[in-house]
Formats: sequence, C-alpha cells, structure tokens
Amino acid sequence: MENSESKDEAYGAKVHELIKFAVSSAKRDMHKIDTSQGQEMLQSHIRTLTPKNNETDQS
Amino acid sequence: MKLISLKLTNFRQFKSAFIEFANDSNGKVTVIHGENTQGKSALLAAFRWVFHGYDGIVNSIQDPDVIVNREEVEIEAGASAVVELVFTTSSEDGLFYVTATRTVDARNQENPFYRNGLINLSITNQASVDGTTTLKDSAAQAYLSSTIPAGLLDLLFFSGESIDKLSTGGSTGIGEAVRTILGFTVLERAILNLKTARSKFEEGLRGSADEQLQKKIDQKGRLTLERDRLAANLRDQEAYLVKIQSEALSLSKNLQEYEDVKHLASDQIRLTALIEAEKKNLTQATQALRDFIRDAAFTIVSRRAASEGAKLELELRERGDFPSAVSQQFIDKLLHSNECICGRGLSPNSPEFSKVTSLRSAKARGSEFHDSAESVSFFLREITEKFPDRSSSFDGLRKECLRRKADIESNLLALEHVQKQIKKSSVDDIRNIQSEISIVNQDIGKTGESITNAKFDLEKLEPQVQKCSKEITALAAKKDETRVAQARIGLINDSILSIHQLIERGTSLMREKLDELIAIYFNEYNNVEGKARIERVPRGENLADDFLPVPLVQNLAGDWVVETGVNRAKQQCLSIAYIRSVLSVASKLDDITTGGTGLFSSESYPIVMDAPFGVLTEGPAVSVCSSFRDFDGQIVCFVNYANYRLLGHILDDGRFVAKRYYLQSFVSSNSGTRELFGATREVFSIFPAGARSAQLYSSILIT
Repeated sequence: MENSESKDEAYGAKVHELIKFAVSSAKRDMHKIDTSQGQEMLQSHIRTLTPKNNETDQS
Repeated sequence: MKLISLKLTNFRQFKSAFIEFANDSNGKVTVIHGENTQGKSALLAAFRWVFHGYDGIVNSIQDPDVIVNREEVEIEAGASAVVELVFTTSSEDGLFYVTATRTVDARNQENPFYRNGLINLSITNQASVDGTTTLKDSAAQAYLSSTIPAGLLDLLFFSGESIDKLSTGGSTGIGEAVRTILGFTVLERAILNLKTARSKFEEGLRGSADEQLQKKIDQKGRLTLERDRLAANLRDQEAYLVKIQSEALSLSKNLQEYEDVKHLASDQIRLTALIEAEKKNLTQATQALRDFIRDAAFTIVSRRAASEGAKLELELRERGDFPSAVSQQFIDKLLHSNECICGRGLSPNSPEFSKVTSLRSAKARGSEFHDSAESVSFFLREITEKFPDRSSSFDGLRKECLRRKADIESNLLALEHVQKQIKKSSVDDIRNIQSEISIVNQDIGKTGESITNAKFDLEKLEPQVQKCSKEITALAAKKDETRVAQARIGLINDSILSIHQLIERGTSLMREKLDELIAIYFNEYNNVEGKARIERVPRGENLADDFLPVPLVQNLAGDWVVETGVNRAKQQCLSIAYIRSVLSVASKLDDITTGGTGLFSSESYPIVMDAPFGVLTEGPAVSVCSSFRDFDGQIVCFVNYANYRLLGHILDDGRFVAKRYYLQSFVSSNSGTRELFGATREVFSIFPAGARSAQLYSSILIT
C-alpha cells in the first residue's frame, strides 16, 4: 500500500513536471518566432521522464 | 509586461514627447491629465499604433491614415512619424527589455501596403550574455502580436468612452485576450504541444502495439494449425500411397503369375513332346540294347563255339539252354541257312532241327531270349570280363535306356505340375485382377495428385508461417518500446487532463472573483442605480472561452436584462470592473489555483486607459478610481481636467500615483491656427504641471 502510494506520488510528480515543462515551453513558443524546436524539446523531456527499461513507468 | 517609456516624434499632434511610466520600482500608476483636445487620445493611439500599426488604430481614432505631423509634412514631404516604446517582458528565459520602434513615411501612410509603417525591435535579455536580438518587419510584428494580440490591445489599451464596445461590439478578440491574460492561451498551447507529442508517440505505438502482437500470434496459431493439418494429411496420403502401391505391386505379381500360365501351357506342350520323343528314344534304346545283347550273345556264342567247340554247344544243348533264335527271322535263318552256330547246317532230320522247330512253334522262348537269365547273365559276365569294349558299349546303352526312362519320369512329373497350375488359373481371375489393378492405379494417380497439391499448399503456407514468426519476433522485440510508448502516452494524457482541470478551476475561480469584485466595487453603484452584474458568455467548446462580458441590469420587475446602451455609464463601469477583475484574478491565479507552483503564472499586464471616467457620474467614477488602489498591476490613466478635479483626492495621493504628467499644448511660433484632428492646436508637447506634486514630475521633453 505504501509502495503504491509512493508510486502514485512519484507518478504525480512526473505529471507535474511534464505540465511545468510543457507550459514553460508553450510560454517560450508564445514569444518566439521560430518554435520548430519546441516539440523536439518536449518529446525529449517526455523521454527523460519515462526512460526505457524503467519498470515503474507502467503506472 | 511593464511599460518603461514612450517616445513620440512627429506623431499626430506631437512634435516630440517622452514619457517614463511608473513601474514597480517607483510605484504603479501614471496619470497624465490635461484639457480636452490636448492629445490624450493621441497618446493612447501611439500605444496602439506601435503594437499593431494602422490596424491597431483604425477603429479607435479618426483619420487613422494621418500619422505624420502635418506641420512637418509641410516642411518636408518625406517626413516620418516615429513612436518608440520600451517595455519589459518576463519569460522562462528571464527578463527582456524590448524597444519597439515603428516608423511611417508621410508618403506611405495612406498606401494600403505601407501604412503600417516599418517596425524594428531590439530585444535584450538581461540575464543573457548573448546580447541584443534585432527583429524587423514581419518577424518583429509577429513578436509584438504574440506579446499583445489584437484582442488584448482592445482590452488593455482602451478609451473609457468606448469601453462599452467590449460587451456590445461582439469582439471575438476579447475572449482571446482574457485567455491570454489568465494564462489559458499558454495552457492551451501546452495542451496542443502535448497532443502533438502524443501523436508522435502514438505513431510509434501503431507499429508495435500489443494488440498487433496478439493478432500475429493468433494468426500464426491458425497458420500453424493449418500447416500441421496439411502435413498430417500429407503423411496420411503418402502412407496410403505406399499401401496402394504395394497393393498394386501385389496385384501385378498375381497377374504375373497368371501370365506365367501362358508359359505353362507351352511348357505342357513342350514336355508332352519331350515325353513322346523320349519314349521313342527309349524304345529305340531298348531295342538297341536288345539288339546289342542279341548280337553280342550271338557273337559270343559263335566265338565260344569256335573256340570251345562242341563242348559248350553240347552242354547248352543238354541243358536245353542253347540259345534259341532270338527272333523269328533268326530262327528262320538258323533253320534255312543250313548251318549251325557252329558252322554246320542243320539237317532237317537232325534232332537240333526238330528242337528248334519245336521251340519255334511253342514260342517258348521266341522273343524272350533273355528269359534265360542265367544264360544272359553268364553272357554278360563274359562280356564284362572278356570284352571290355563290349561291356562299355553295353553300359552306355543301358545307361542311355535308364536316362531316357528317368527323363520321361521327370518330364511326366513336370507336366503333372504344369497341368495342376493351368487348372488353378482362369481367365476370369486375370480379368478381375486387371480390373483391380486399374482401380488401384487410378487411386494411385489421384492420391499422387492429392499429395502434389498438399505439398504445394504446404510449401505455400510455410513461408507465411515463417513470415509470421519473424513478425512476431520483431513485435515482441518492440513490446518494450510499446510499453514505454504507452507509459508516455498515459503520462501525456494525465498531464493534459490535469491542465484541463487547472483551466476549469481557473475558470471557476474567475467567475467567483468577477462576481465578488463587481459586488465590492459597485455596491454603491448598485444601491443608487439598481443592480447590475456581468455574465460570461461561453463562446464554444473551449473552456477558456467563457469570458466575454455581458453587462446585465436588473429591471423594475426584478429580471436581469442586457444593458443595451441606455445607460452607457453603467456599462462602462461594469466593463472597467470586468477588466480590472480579470487582471486581478490573473495576477493571483497561479497562487490560488495551483498553490503557487508557477505552472502557469500569467504575465503581468499594464492597463492604459483614456478617460476611464468620461461618462461616469461622481459616484461610479470614484468607485472605479478607488478600485485601482487594489490593483496590483501597472496603470496608465489619461484624465481630463474635470475628472482630475473630481478624483483629485485619489489621484494626488503619492502613495497611489507615482508619476503624474500635465499635458498642455503649445502653438508653434511659426504656424498659425489651422484645422487638425478637429482641434485648433497644431503642435503639442507634454510637460510637468508644477503646480502639484512637482517633485514627482520628471523626464519631460519639451520642444
């Protein structure tokens, strides 16, 4: 149960982290003319948050 | 965003002007007051023009295509108007100082293609060592449009006398502006970006989904089953083929046996002929033996007679064993040759003659010369002992006889066997066997064909199974990627959901705050003139579209009705309260909604108002002005003298207003009075009104 809660907490932190990154990227996008790299950065960040071979990511 | 300074050159009435605005470091409210027609509206237009050019002022001032100061144009046809606005904007990358400079040539200001003028941006990131970025033309305009979109321009840089257009003009840009101020535009952009990212991960997922793997496994299962079935069928058919081939072979052997009967028949004929021939040969051989013995006996007898004389003859005669004539002819010869064996003729009167004659007639020994076995054996012994060559001939003849007899017996046995075989076989049997062979052969043909087909099907199926196996291997290898992609998509979905929830919470908060703030700052107003409130009109599916203000008033019957302009003052109050509320909520939205996580804290926006109290009576005007005290953001307010007097007790409060300018026009020395923009002034300037709080006035540029 504790593990589950801890897992949820970790996952919640990841969601929060992703939102924060997506929002800050979007803010940059809003003020930049060339936003072509924003998507790349976002995807890269998502990959960082959910690395391969990390079994705990399945939650 | 904070306004730092505004510099005008040859813009409308202004020869030149320079204004520094109050900002965090020196307060937050800048008041510029002056008589009517002194250029307050032109200052507002300068803000709008620098951001959006002709498009920014076309609906807010008269003669939007007359930008360059006319007096300058008269002096020089190619004179230019220049507006330079310095502001700061903060982002994730730090604080940026932006200098926006828009220039238009008098010769182009009426040309639809050039009337927006030329825009240049100089952007400096205080926190960066990269220095200053310069943008021009469309890139510069794109930056400004993203910083202050058209709707935001209407909302933040407005004339109080026309602020009611917010609710009655149906400006779709307002909803956009509110979303921008509240940070929802950024959130929506974040959602859009996340969705794009999600689609990228989904693309990867489509090629390696678990579902596909399962489908492949099922497909392989079906194919394998079919292959095994075909293989089993093939094995059965091959076994059956072997069986019927063996059966055919067996039948062929049977048939062959029956075919042998033909040979048996010929054997029968051959054997019969052989037997007959042998019989004849045997007869001949027997005869030859017989002749030999007779001849030999005769010779022997003769020779013996010759050598031993009458002794032997006598003995033979006495014993009666004298060999009689072997044949009738022999006897006749003896009788009629007149000579005996011993060389003498038998006289008819002799006893020998009589004996022979009697023997002959009695036929006692006529042809059975060897009945006298003893005699014969005696002779034979004689032959053996004394005439080896004769003995050999005798044995040869005798063996010949025996061989012939044995051959005959053997052939008879073979014939008997052949006849038995022939008896066993019948034509019907052969026909039946042939028919069976034909059927079996047909079966063999069909089975062979069936086997060929089965092999073909099997060969066709095998590569499919192999392909399936390879695909399964590949899919299985991708399974991990699939799982990771699914995890990523799940994370994105949850993030999008959370952002939507944030927007919902923000929206809900916005509603509450609007109602709350309107109730606070227009309570008095309500008391005097009846109740009023603002409703938000949802525009579409988007959650953040819920903020178009619609001022409603309560009529005598107690019903809430849309204010249709009868009371513009009320509308104006509501609209300003609305804007003020939006900005107020925006400044605290992140704190309240997410506990200050900085997820979507909105940019702080200034509000620039021209004559916000223009049509208000004293009570509402004081109420609106007082509400500015509670506003956290930067305010630039242009007021006329009447309002300044009315609100002086608020506007002169140094704790509230940090910068104050008095706008006064000058008539240039070298020009007379002429009609310009509906006013009679030609050249305007701005300078401090030293009469009041002179220490606050600064940075005034006078031409």
